[in-house]
Amino acid sequence: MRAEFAAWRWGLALFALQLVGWGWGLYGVGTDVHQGDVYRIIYVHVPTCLTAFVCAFYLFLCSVYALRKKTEACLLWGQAAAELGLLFTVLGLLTGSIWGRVTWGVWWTWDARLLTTFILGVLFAAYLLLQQALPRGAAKTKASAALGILIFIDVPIVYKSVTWWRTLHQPPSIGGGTMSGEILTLLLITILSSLLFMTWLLFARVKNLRLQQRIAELVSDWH
Amino acid sequence: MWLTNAQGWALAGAYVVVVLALLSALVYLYYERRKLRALQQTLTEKQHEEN
Repeated sequence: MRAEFAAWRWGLALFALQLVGWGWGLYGVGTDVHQGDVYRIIYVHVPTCLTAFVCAFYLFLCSVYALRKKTEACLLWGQAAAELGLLFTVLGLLTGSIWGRVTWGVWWTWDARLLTTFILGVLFAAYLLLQQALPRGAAKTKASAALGILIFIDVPIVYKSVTWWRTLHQPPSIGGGTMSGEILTLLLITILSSLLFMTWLLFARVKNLRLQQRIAELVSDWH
Repeated sequence: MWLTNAQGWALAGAYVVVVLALLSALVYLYYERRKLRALQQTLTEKQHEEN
């Protein structure tokens, strides 16, 4: 029991790092002159959205590897990346929706940024459904890899949607040059901690999926 | 203190949603691992017994 808990210390430590960043965001930095206190949502909203993008990038890498090597071994990584991508996309949409209610007066609008992010979430869900629906084999590997690559294509569209189309959503938070050094530093710390935590979750999930696969093999050997 | 107005409650709501979701993911993976390890051990033991 103690040894089992020890393996999870890294996960807890990374989660605690996120809590410290968020606590700093709520109490340690000053209020924004234009938006007031609600701007502090960026410390959860921006990291969750960017983490969803990185999940799509991991999924892309798995998909390219699966196509090149013609192997289904990395489908487990793809499944874990898609599950986490869906989780972080939903969190990004929820936190963005709360922000939208306060700043725009609506929970949801069919804005280009919101719509493309929603599509990203639907594509992650479609990937998971596809993996469940198809039997193991070359067709499943090819179809999953093709969808994995398609999902990643949506990421630059989501990112550039605020500059390509006229949207309610503000321009990209990072790189605009309008953010104070203090806010930007903390934002980068929360993004980094979110990425590290997601990567830890990814490894933990893949380990569980491998264990599930081994159990299934044990059962099939038995019968 | 930001928690004294509507903006503050929206902010608190957003943080609570994210904290609970990520903590749930962590706890879910932990208990899933424990359950799977126990199942694997039981199956291996039964196989040994049969052999």
